[in-house]
Formats: sequence, C-alpha cells, structure tokens
Amino acid sequence: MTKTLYLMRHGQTRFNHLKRIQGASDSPLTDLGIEQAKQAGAYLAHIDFDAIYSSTQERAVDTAELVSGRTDIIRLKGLKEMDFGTFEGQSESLNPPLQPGIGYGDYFIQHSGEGSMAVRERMKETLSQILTKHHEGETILAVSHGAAIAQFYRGVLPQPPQVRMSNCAILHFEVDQNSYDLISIYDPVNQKVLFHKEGS
Amino acid sequence: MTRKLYLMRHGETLFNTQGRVQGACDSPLTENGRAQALLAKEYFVKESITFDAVYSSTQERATDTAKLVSEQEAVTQLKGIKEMDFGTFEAQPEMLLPKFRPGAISFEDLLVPFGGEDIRDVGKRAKSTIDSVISATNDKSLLMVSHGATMWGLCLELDITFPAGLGFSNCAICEFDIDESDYRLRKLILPTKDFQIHGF
Repeated sequence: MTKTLYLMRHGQTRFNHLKRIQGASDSPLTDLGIEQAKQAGAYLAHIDFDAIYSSTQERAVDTAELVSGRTDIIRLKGLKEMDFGTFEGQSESLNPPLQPGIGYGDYFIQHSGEGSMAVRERMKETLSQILTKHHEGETILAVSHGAAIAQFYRGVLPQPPQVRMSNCAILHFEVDQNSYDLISIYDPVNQKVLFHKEGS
Repeated sequence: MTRKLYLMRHGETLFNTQGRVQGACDSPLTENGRAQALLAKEYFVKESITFDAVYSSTQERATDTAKLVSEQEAVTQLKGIKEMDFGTFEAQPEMLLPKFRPGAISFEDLLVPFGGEDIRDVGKRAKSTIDSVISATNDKSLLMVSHGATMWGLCLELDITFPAGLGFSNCAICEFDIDESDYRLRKLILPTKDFQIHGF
C-alpha cells in the first residue's frame, strides 16, 4: 500500500503576468490564473482528497479552493515559495541564470533570501510530516510554488526530470514510507503530459 | 447590546521598509513588524482586553499579526477586509503613486484607471464584511487585523474625520463601539508611537 500525493503549483498571478519576482511576496490570481485553477480542478475532479494543504500565501490558498471547491484548506508556512529577499517584487530580468540541478543555489542568501538547499529541506520536512498524518491508501493534495516544488522533487528523486513548473502543473507521487515515486507531471492548462514514468 | 471591535493595521513588512506600494500584493512581516505586533498585544494585556473571535484579511501580513497579537491560531480570514488594490502600482516605489487632488484626504478614484480600486468602494466592502460578521455572531469583543487604506476607507464611509497629520501607523488600533449597524469610533491607539491614545 502507498499514499498518494498530488503536488501542484498555483495559477498565474499579477506578478507572474508582470514578470516580477514573487517568492515570499504575493499577489492576486489573475483571471487567467483563476481559469487555470478551474482547469486543474476539472482534471482532478474524479479524486476524493482526504485532505488539502496549501502554503499560507493567498495565491496558493485561492488555487486550492478553486481546484477543490472546498474551503477546509490546511495552510502551512513550510509549503511557501523560496524567499528572494530584497529582490521580492522586482523585475525577473534581475534574476541570475539558473544553475543545472540546483536552480539559484545560494545566490539570494547575500540579499537576505533563502538558499536552494534550505528550501529543499523544509519542503521535504513539511511534506514528510503531512504524509505521516495520513494512512496508507489515502490521497492528499498540496498546493505550493514553482521553485519550492522543483527543489522538493530534486531532493527526493534519484533522477529528477528536467521540467519547467508551469502554472497549475500537477505532480502525482506514490509514496511508500519515505520513498517517493513520481508517476507523472501534467499541465492541465495546455492538457499536456510533461513527464510520465516509463512502464506505467 | 454594544459590542467592541478592535480594528487594527498589520505590523511592518519588507515592502513597507522599502517604501513600496503594497495593496493587493503582500510581503512578510519584518523582525520589527513582529515586535510591533507584540507591542499591540502588550496594550490589550495591560487593558485586560480579551477577544471572543479573531479575524484578519486573507493576506499573510495581517494573519501573522493577528496570531501574534491574540496568541491564537484560530484566525478567520476574510477577503472583504483586504488592503485596497493599487493595480499596476503594486510593489512599485510609493513615490510613483498619483498625488491626492487639491484638498482631498484620500486617493478617491485615482487608482481606478490603473486597474486598482476606488477607496470609497474599499470602505463599502469593508463595512459590509464587518456588518456580516456582526449580524452572524454574538461575540462581544472582536479583533480584526486589516490594512491602512482599507481602515481609512472605512472611516470615510462612516464619516469619521481625523485631525490633520493623524494616520494609521503600523499596528494602529481603532476601538469601535458597535450597536447593530451603528459604529462609533472611541479611540485610536498607536502602539508604535509610545502608545499614544486619541479619544473621539
């Protein structure tokens, strides 16, 4: 028996649209973001979630509510986006180049932000604590953020796929003890399978 | 039955320290912001004021402030007391904001052409949100953590005027007596300004 985890990114926000850096900061979902969340909801409609989690950031909570039609969302700071420090809300053109396998690495620490490895560890810790609360056979949904999700799956998968976390992209994991098996990554907005485990 | 509403502003955030517009967007409380929330808590403790229910906007800066002030995890989030939306000015330097019209004491509708809200509409939505809570519950003492422009909009809606130069610093508390839909401002308490108290 395993536990099933659906982990997804929030819908498009005003800062996404304006190409501003949005980590610890937050902005409202755009009309498109609301539509994306509804598309994700249609894709997940056949699943009866035993619990739904999100970060404490409104873009994630609102996405979780739109996807599920529920309001009993459990909000956890541990699922928040990476903190980009003084770069929050500034133009995305100020971001340094991404480094293969680690993203921004330690770059933002000098600017009072978070390091990639710190994000990876808190996401692993938070999701592990969530899963401990659930029984074998249960299914949960967690709405988090692009960089946080990318760090998480790099941290728990031996061969992480190279996938860009588009808005509302959904990762499906089967979890056995603390071993994560990534089954698929689906982009419900473009109705495109971004990754699928071989042989399943 | 007269009920008490303590309507307060959140503590200092990253964007506040950077002099950046923060309406519909959000950024985390700073260390100083958390200390300010604890100052406000000190005021309530000293006055032996307790809360039957605690509310905040859906923005993390307000929810975190409410938790610090009340020492309560159970905070009900309300979209209707969110900060005024400043449209495309969100996260931009405050110096870029339009100037009030001559003699005006608020932005009025100046942000509407930029996709933002008319502060008078903000006051109306805040009033109707608080009205709904008041009519749906019997709690005698309520804490609500909201935002500067939204509190200003509410006061405009209630025809409350302040002496020139008086405004809502971080964690400013408006103490209202509420009878049905009659709101009377009794005090403005400024915890970060040596606990100044202005009577009305």
